[in-house]
Amino acid sequence: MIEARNLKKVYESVGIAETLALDGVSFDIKEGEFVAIIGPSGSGKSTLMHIMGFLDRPTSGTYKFEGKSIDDLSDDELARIRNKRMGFVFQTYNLLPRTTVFDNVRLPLIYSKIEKERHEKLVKTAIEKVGLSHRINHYSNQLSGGEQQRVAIARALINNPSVIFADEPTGNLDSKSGKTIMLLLYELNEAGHTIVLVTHEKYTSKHAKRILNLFDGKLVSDEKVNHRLYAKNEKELKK
Amino acid sequence: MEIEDSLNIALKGIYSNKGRSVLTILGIVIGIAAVIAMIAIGEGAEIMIINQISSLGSNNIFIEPGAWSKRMEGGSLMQTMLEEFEIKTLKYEDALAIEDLPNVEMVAPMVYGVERIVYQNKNEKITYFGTTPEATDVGDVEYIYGRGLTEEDVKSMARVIVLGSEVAKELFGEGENPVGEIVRIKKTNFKIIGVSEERGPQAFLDLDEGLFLPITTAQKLLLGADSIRHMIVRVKSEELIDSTIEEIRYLLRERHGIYNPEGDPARDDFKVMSQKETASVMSSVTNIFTILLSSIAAISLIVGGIGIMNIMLVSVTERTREIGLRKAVGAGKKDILNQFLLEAVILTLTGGIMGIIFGALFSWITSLAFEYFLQSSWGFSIPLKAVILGVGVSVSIGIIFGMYPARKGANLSPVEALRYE
Repeated sequence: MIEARNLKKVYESVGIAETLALDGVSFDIKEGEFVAIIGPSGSGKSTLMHIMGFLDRPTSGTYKFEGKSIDDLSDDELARIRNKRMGFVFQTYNLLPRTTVFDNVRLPLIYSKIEKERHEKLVKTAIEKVGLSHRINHYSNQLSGGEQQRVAIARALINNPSVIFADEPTGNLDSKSGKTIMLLLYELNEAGHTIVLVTHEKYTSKHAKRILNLFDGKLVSDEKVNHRLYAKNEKELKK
Repeated sequence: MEIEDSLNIALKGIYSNKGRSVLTILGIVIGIAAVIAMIAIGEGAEIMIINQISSLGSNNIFIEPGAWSKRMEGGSLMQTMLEEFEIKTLKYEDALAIEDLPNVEMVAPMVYGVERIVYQNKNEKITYFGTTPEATDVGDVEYIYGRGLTEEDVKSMARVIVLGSEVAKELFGEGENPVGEIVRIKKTNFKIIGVSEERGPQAFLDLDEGLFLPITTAQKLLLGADSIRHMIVRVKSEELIDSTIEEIRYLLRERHGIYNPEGDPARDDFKVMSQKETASVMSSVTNIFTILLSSIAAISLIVGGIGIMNIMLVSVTERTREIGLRKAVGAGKKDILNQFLLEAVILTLTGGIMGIIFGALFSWITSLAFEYFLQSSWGFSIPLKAVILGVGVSVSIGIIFGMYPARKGANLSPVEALRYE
């Protein structure tokens, strides 16, 4: 589903030497995988996720998502694919303030071609999946951090995307809320969504099936997780 | 993306910054109100002037000195008017000759000027009107004391004057009868023979603040010239106006020795106009003033537009992360552009509608004030074209001044917008 070949990303800023954020990264991700991208800060993992999520373009190399190459698509075509096929969860939630949970989750739908009549049902189903039905008419800023991140996951789910990109989704949360989020991601993966998780915490990354380890813009290891953590597991939650 | 959603987003953006939004649109409110008020007041003035000209009767012909120049049809009208003051081609004798034409009922020639009138230790600057009894008849002048001018006064070049009611009040006090008193104008003694009734200011003349004297006296003692400023010719019936105009032209060309067989008005040294033509010349004058004043008011709209642009730039910057998120979840450039353009247009349109209301209110109050002070009917109207102009201009300002900030937002790269702190 995802095909990256020799991806390079160079940042140029005036007066400063150019920085090589990605230095020839190649890998494939198949449908149904749960991949964690780890590495210290500055290793290029966020840059990689932005390119994978069609939010940014590589300087060189080829990147294909579901067979479509990023180089062949215009900005607006990328936006349409992000809308239909991808979901995003950010470290800082990025919910609209002074806006209800319902409207926040509905946001991707207003940019889609889905008829208005179906919106309410879709939004309610997504909110139910993250267990926030009782908060549906609350404003986003009235919720706790964990709840806000669940709203963000509901928003990522709304268009039933094939892949969900989660950029440090537990970074701003306490460990209990963090586990709830990891449980949700686990369940989504079980339900058939491909998950790409970016994190710098080794512990969190062990919830994934596969770990890509980045260092200085290079892929240093790509290995299967042998002892996978299950947030679902009662015992694990207590740990 | 549906209109309803775009509208909701834009309204939310405005609503979350209520105070800022109100202050921002104030510039547009004031600008539109000023333009609307100027147009409405100009229109009112035009209606009033035309009403007053028509109230003089439709069978009048106006004659002025000087040729019809191309400039009369627009262009520098003020200049033409000033030049005319120097033209001395029309004489009192021309008026007497026109009076002898068969279709003419009467002729009222007039000269005027400004002088100081002195009585004992008081003096006033006044406008004097040198004229004939016919002119005061045309204007339906009534007298509270004494009498008006007579043919005899004109023929004998009598040193007599009829005071306007305000001038009489200033010099002699309220309720005093000054008939028989002697006043000095330009070192000459004049005897007061009457005081005219208060009339309130008219379109052209404020008789209350002026005085009448025989045209012959005014020419000889005050102006030192035998020319006249204009004359009004009353024709026996309306149907005769066109033929009489031709007769007058023929007569004056002959008297002034002008060879003009084609009847080209530019070669004459006088202008003959019917009631209708005078009204159209006057309305072209008020139109020029209306355009001039509304253009000045329109400058404030540009200032208001820059205010909108400024606040929209702030809005785009403040919401950079929001733009990034919207793009991440699938908003295209057009969606972001429309969102901010719509926000700017809602701001300016609201300002425009408020401006129309305030402008209408202001011109209505002005019309009441004019009616009270001028004691003449002031045609209050808010022309539909002014309302359409107000709405159109405010929407255009929103689009023009909102475009730059909206494009700036629409062209942000999603990654940079999401990372913005």
